[in-house]
Amino acid sequence: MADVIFSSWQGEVIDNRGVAADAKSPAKVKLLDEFHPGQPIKAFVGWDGIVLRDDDVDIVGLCARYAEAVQSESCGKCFPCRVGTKIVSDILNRIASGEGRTGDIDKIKELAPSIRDGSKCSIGQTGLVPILHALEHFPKAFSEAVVGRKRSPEINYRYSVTAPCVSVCPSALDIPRYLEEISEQRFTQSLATIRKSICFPGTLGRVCVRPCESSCRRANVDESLSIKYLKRFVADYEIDTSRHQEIPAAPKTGKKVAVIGAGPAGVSCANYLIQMGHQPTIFERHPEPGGMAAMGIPDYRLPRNILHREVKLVQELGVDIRYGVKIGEDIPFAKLREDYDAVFIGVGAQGSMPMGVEGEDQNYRGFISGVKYLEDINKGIDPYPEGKKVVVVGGGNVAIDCVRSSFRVGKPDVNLVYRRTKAEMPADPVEITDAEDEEVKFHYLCNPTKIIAKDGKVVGVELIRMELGEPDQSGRRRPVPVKGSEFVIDADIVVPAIGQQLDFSFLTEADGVKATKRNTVGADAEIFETSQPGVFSAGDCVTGPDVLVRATGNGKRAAEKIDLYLTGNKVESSQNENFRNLFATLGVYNDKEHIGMIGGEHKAHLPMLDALVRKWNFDEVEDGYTTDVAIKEASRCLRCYRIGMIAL
Amino acid sequence: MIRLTIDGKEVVTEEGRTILEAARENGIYIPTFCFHEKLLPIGSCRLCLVDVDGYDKPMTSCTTPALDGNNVTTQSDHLFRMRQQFLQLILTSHPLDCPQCDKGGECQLQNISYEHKIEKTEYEAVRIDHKEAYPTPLIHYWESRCVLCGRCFHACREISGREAIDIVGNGFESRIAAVNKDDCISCGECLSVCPVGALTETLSPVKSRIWQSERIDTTCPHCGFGCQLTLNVLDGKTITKVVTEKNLPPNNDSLCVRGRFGYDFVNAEERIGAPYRNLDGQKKTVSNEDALAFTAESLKKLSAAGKGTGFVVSPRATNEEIYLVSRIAASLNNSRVASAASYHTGKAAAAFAQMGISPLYDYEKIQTCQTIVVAGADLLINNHLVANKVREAVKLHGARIVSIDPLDNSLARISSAHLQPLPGQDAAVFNALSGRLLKDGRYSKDAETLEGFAGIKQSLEALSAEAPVGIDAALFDKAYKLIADAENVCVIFGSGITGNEEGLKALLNFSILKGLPQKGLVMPVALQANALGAVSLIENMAATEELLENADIASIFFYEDDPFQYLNGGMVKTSLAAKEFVAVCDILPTFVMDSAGVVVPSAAFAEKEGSFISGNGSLGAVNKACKGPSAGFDFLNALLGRLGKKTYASAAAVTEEIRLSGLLEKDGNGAERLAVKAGKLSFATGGASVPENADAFQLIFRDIFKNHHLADRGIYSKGASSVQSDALRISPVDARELGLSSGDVVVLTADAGETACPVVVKNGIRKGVLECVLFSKHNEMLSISSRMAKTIGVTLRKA
Repeated sequence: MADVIFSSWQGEVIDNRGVAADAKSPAKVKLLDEFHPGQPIKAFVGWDGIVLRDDDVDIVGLCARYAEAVQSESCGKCFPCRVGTKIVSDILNRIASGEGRTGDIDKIKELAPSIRDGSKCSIGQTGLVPILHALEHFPKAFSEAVVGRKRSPEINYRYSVTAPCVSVCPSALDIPRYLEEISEQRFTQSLATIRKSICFPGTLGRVCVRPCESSCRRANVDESLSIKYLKRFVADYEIDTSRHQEIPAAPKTGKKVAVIGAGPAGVSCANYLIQMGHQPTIFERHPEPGGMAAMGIPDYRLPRNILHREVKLVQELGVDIRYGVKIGEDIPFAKLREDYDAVFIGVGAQGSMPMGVEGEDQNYRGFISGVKYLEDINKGIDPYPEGKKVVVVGGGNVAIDCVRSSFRVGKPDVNLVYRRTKAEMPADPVEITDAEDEEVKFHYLCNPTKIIAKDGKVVGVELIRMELGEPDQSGRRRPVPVKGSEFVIDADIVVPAIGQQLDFSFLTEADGVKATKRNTVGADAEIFETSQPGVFSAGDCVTGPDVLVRATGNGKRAAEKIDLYLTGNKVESSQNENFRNLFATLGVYNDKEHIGMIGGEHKAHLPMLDALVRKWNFDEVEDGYTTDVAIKEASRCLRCYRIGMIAL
Repeated sequence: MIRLTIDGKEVVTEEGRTILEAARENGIYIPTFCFHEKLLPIGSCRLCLVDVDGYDKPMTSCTTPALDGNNVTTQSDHLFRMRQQFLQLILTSHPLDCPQCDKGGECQLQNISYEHKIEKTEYEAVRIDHKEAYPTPLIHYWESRCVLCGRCFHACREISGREAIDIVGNGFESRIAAVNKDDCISCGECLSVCPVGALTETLSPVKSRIWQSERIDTTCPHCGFGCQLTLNVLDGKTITKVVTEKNLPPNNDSLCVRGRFGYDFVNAEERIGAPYRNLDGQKKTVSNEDALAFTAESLKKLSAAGKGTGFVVSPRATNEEIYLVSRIAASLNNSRVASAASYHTGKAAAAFAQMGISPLYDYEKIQTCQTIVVAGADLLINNHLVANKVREAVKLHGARIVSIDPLDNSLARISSAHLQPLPGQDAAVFNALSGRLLKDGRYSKDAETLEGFAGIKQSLEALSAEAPVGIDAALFDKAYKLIADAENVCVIFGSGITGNEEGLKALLNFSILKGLPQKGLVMPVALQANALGAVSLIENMAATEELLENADIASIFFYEDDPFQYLNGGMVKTSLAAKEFVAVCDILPTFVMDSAGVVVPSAAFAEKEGSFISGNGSLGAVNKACKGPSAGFDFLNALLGRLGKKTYASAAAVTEEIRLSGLLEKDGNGAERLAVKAGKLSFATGGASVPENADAFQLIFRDIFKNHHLADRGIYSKGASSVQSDALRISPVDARELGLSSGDVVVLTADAGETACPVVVKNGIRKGVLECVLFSKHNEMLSISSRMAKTIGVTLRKA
């Protein structure tokens, strides 16, 4: 950033005070220019230092406000932070009010390092870091404030709490809190904390791609926390002990919302709408809920009763789900707009993406799209009983689910064809390992060129060898065909699983909902509203095939926007969302951070069924944590909460 | 084992220990404040900071794992200075009202501040005292003294499994508050772990500091778990509180509400001071000598006439007293000794003996079990400490619980399966579980060699191995799987099981089939402090009503027992009116005294020397904490003399004689316990039929056998009575059907009469079942049923 006057962010000290505009040194730290349209960020104070972009900002006042924020966010569970930050905050407030006393600054200098080094969690460990930076780099401002009894001007500031894991969670789950609640044996409370952000704890506790674990600071010490499995633990605990905590009903607003699709986005949206007092009705074309989570995820990873129970809990809050109703066929979209105060589109992306190879449009028996293949298996149907040798094409989670499910319907010979190498595969590495353990045959660096059939039935697939060239847009090296390297492998089932796309058949031109160039529903990334007022959309139908946790998160955020719309407020991003954007730009997790701990406490793994036994049935592969293991695992959390404050 | 260096000394410890544990094991001192052995590390005080090579900052030794090769420094100027600073922070929010604080002299904050040479407080900040009520009236919360160490709410959750209190608010405004008042069971674990005077007991009107008091260790007189506690006594006469700080087994400083607050009956105003006779409906105080002479002469006369004499001795009397009673009985013709121990402990012991199961068990074995079955026992009311041990197994070892009880119970909330058979149908549940173990071949193969295996196999195969009618099939399957999958299983059962012979047999057969007690544990709860002592010392023990109803028994001597507490009062009264001589020895007025010709005072547990045999067979010492004569023992001893038998110099002399009789032995650690020869395991026959339940409701009595010294004719323990009371509870389903809500008065009718009382609607109770908790209304409630039973059939209507 070029417009920095002073920065001490992450150990890089940039001091452009009094430096001519053209001679200013740039800083590595990145901030947004504006917090909200028309609100430029003048300064940022946080866990790793201070960034000033405007001469106006009074550093003494800023520090006083920050210390106050730290004290008000202190959980009270350790002495240095609970009492220590109160004392520092009181002193700074005194100085900023023009009532500073001799010795005040020395007192802070004496106490703050002990609070930093001795506090239990990151609130105390980082809370006084920027204040120590300020005392070091702006000593004059502080001493003048004390000696001159200078009163700091009012500051227009905002602050927010984040954590590395929370900052990357698409559902903005309060992870450190629910982990701490587990470590303190408040399992029910922990689940309630999770349910504030997602209504699928048992589901996500099994299948989440867990971006949080990739941004877990504990990984800088030994291994990341098992955030996903701990979520599963509390969800399972509720079922195990037959205890369900009811969510109190909100006063009714009388507003009706039509939700299309009972997938993760739609159910999540409806769940939070009803908790705000609105009345959502979900229309689902399938006879069961869950969308891609039900159709696309096999039972050995996500037992159906888990997903169904979580949807049932949402129904118990009063959400009506109408199964077997196809919008566009049974009820026109326009009718929904007439009958409801708002509409949410959460139809997902369940259409198959063509591979563009010869023979794929010939309706050969044995040529089955990945989504259809899984849908059949998940309904308990063998998609093609005659077929024994399966070739699945693709490298994502759907492809992996297809190969692993194949064993489970009794296919003895299961192959996966992927055009790049294992290193580039987008599927969850854990899933890849599990598939390897189950003895799926992987064929890397090949791509289909032709489906070979005889008498209308698939008998094989022609592949061509690939090599990796220059990196493409995604950053992965682009696969390039090796001329003349075609070869054929026998197969009687070929399953393309290279991606999905949206099926727009529920809309007509006249409905006016615009699509994007990528053939997804055009909805604003911040407010989820489509080109039609009162029509909102989120989930895979907006993003294209994406992870469950983003669909649930965006479903909830969309519900908040629909609430603004229904209550006649301006539909705009919230302060929390603005902070999330700011934190995303800044980067909360620093994988280079040296934490200075030996650690030595490894992640607790789940007991698993034996690979060569489990591959033939749909029993859930992994068993959950026992209570003692969950408590121990959760206690590894470093509780990396941190506070970011901006001056406007 | 791993090796590390602490302060230059090489130490060895087990993998998985913390640095603090490693240091303590090796006698290296690290100051701590919030740390408590019974709790998982809290990490709030930061005083146990140590420097460890490889760490940038000092680490709290209570939470940091000891790793092989660690080099740890526990003492340095820098660490001392940091500890001083943190102590300064603690003291910032702590008033220095030590002169008037209960904790003065035994306050950890005083000690650690002194140790760290804190001479004055450096910082100041103003704190508001919200003056909110604590969830129990027995404890006062001094918010300004509270340093938020966190021990109390951790103890509430971890030890007692409750969620009554929590830390609320943020930053400096944080405080402890009653977040769920109704969840509080007044166990006082919070009080017991508080390191400062922020929690104090409100019960005793007199307070005494540590240096003014004597502290006497003794064994709790209430249930039979055998808790070791310490009485804090002022001037040798007034108990001012109960403390537990020696970490003695079996309770390791935990207690329940009665152990901690149920001591005040000792100082009750109503205590019987002198013997009296009931003459023409008038109480006439007599001398000890007169009472003794009258009793001795009456007994001698009746014995000489060939008439029978009955003795009813309390299962809370000491072994020594019970022994003297049995000596007296032995000196008379046609005598029988009865005890209320016969109803539960007696039946369990008889069944154990018959099936060759040793009645001795080790509570700690619960920790080795993966699945714990709790049947027909509410561990909240009785043997609360067993529930604590079970919770520990869940917390530290991931154990799972199966509850079998038509009512809600203290462990139901953490049970993986709560099966709710109708009362009396437990046999069906255990038989189905056994049947399925047999069918799946998942029983202990050792069982095949035992006597009765073929018979039990045949009879179980004829029964269903599916969930019995009225039990959720999925829940039953889950319970079965937890049991079948577990290597070691623990079965804990209460009077809900022993009240029904078929159920007890089915439970024990199931236990043996699963390989217990070798691979696990099977244990009855112990309802009364010395029930096992009574069962072991009294030969051919009778049930009380057998003596009452037996016309050949012309006189009865009640020793610290009141049959009105557990039998139909009308029946007792009529029976006693027909007796020629009735004597009662007890400490406080009881209903049975109205029927007595002579009443003599006894001594409370705190005034006695002697011993109890706890449920696990261990011998616990009952020590004299308060001055005064051991009235009851002395009376029995003198009576023995008047009957021409040998008397004893002291209670210890009696203990010695019991010892010589071979009743006791030393265990591996040198502690004394009941001596038992191992029998040969065998299956019981029967245990298959299930009684029909014809009545509209099955009413289950809870706590029939509570210590009547807490409440009998009057309320004698203000402590217990301020938080416990009688209650009739009904399931929400039944309440809805009958149009009842909490507080409505209902009329209960059974075979002997009816009574009216208010009802409370409670979740967790099975439809068709009523829970009747007794505290002071035993007499009233038991009057509706003619027979002694844990469960009776009743009809219920709205009054």
